[in-house]
Amino acid sequence: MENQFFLNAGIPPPAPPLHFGPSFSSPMSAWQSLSSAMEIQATELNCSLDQSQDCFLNPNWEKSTDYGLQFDSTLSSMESSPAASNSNISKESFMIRELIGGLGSTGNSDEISPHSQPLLASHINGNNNTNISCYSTPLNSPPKLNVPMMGSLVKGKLTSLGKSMGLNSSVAEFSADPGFAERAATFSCFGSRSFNGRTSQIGLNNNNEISSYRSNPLTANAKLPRVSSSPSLKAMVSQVGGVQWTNKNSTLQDRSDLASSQEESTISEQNPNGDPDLKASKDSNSRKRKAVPKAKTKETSAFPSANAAKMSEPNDESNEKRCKSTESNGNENSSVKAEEDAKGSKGNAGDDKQNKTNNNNNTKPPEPPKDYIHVRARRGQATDSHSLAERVRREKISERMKLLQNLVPGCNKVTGKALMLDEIINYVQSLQRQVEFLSMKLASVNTRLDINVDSLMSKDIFQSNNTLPHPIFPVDSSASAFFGHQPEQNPALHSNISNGTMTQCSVDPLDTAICPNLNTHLPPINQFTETVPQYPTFSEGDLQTIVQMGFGQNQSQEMALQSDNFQGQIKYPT
Amino acid sequence: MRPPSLLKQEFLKKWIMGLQRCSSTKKNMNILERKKAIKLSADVAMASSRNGTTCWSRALIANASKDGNDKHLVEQILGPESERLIVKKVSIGALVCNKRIRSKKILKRSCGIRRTRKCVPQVALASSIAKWLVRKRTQVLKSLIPGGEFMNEVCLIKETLDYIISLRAQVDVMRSLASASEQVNHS
Repeated sequence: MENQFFLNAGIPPPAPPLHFGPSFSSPMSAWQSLSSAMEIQATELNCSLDQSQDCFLNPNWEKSTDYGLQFDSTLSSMESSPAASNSNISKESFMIRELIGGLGSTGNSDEISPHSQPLLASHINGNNNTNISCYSTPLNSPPKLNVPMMGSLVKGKLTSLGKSMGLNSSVAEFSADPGFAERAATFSCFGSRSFNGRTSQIGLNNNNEISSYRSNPLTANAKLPRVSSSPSLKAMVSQVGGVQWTNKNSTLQDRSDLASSQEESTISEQNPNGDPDLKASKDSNSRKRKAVPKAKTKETSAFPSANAAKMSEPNDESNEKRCKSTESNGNENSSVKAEEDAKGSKGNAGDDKQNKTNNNNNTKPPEPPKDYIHVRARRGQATDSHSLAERVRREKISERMKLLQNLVPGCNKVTGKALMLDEIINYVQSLQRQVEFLSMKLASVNTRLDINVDSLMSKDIFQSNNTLPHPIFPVDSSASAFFGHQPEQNPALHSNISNGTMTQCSVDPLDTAICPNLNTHLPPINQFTETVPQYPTFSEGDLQTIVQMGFGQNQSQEMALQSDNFQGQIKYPT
Repeated sequence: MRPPSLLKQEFLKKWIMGLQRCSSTKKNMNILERKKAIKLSADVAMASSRNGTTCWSRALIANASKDGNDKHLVEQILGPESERLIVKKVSIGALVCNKRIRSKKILKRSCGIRRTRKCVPQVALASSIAKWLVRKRTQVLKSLIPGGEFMNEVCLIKETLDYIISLRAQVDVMRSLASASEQVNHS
């Protein structure tokens, strides 16, 4: 087999000659060589069917010829294409190998290795599909489905190549490559979307905008802790130095996207057995640390309390920056925190333990925990960061809608957000129209803009009335009833009145102004009379009296209009 | 929350001050001008009673001071602290609003990209219809509240709460004043 392999190496591989030493001189070339080895093996198998002992390769002969042709075409395209496409191939293989690594770490390898030989044929087809899809479309589902087969295929090839490496060791060899998983994750993200780096950047910007309005690197790096929880990637992170990327941030961001996509659904099915740690980290996401947004932003960025301390330095810097920016916020922290903590939660001892360790690792000195809203996922609910943020937001909105219900008359019977909003809109519109109308009325009533004070004073100076005290009291008490704080209103008015600057003499004509109006309204007012306080002076003189006078006149109208005030304490006798 | 009586008193005081300043600047206004001055001074007085704590008040003052004619009026009404209020509020509000607008545009663009890929054909799903209804109404509400288009939903409802209270107080005072003036004029 090895002879055949090297014979077929006459097809010039798009890489330096194959070498499978444990130390790879250049990872890129190694993977390229591996991929080419894969292709070559496939073609070799296709060509050497007569040599194969397995009988069921024959039925696949016809298929494999077709695929073989395609293989040749792909191989030639591999050879002829410039390094970019080679990097494409290697990217695909990276992703494949990363997934294999994930599989291998659990022990699937042990199951697959004995069956490597018979499965090779079917895996050729799988390989074909994968490779064809590499060039035709961005990787979506096919690679995922074929990964188990691919994994076994690669492992089978390795064993067939007589490396005498256990599968675990081979996987370990893969994983020992510095930055291997990182690149794989990077390109897996690329594959899951497209090979357009811009798209991923835009997506990241979305996340940034969703989460907060801080700078991009901040939130991008802030997503990193989630990634580090994956065990297969943990080791890689420390070996980031070996990677040569133009934009380190982008790769880290993409890795975070990988983690997020893992959380979603797509790739997670590839690691069913495992990453047990990944699953635990997912559960630990139920207790998240959310940075408090600025007062008006709705979304909160979720930083799962993962091993952020193990991340590289830029991440720590970003944490610090994040701490400082969140420190500058913090309006509704305590209240929201109490609110969130009061919710039901998934009890999980392991989570607590992990969270404690993570908390110890995670907190840089200037980061006070009070800036984070500790949110717990409720039982049976999604622990996704986005859904948690959504839930917090929804609860805030519903709480405020309830307040609005008390405020807007006639809203108590209405249920549902749309109808409530309808009522609110109608009410606001009606209030605004009333303002317009009243301003027009005032403009028409007064030819000059010096409205009330002078005219009222001049009008009523000539009227005198000795029944000053009595009419006022009902007005005041009715006004107090109107204002609604009955037991405390009178003291309040007293305190207001004590600030009055008006002299006694000027009070009298104003009081007389009240009288003619009061007399007409005494009957309805009297029923509100409770206490009869003495008001020797008025604060801010005429303004107060005018207000009271006006209120006295409008009592009956306004009772009907306003059944409640904001605090909801008032009951008006009608 | 402050008791509404205090709110009303404060509003009335500021409003009358503003009206007096209006009348001092310009004599012989026609009815429409008077009405406009009355309304403007009432709005500004109401907004200034909030002292820049709410978004709608800031937006209202900012809008009022954009117009050259009204700017003097606004400044007079607000008094000595007008410079601080207007400048600070406008700048901060503009910054925040621009940031929000930009971020929302980016968000919408990206969501549009994602939506074209998924293309979910849900025609008659109740939840989607409900969401659409709510969204329509939210847009209407945003157009009603001053400065509303720059807010997200949570803040919008909070601002609506405050705005409704202020509007109610304003209407009460204006109505009482109008009726008092009527009474005085008729009698």
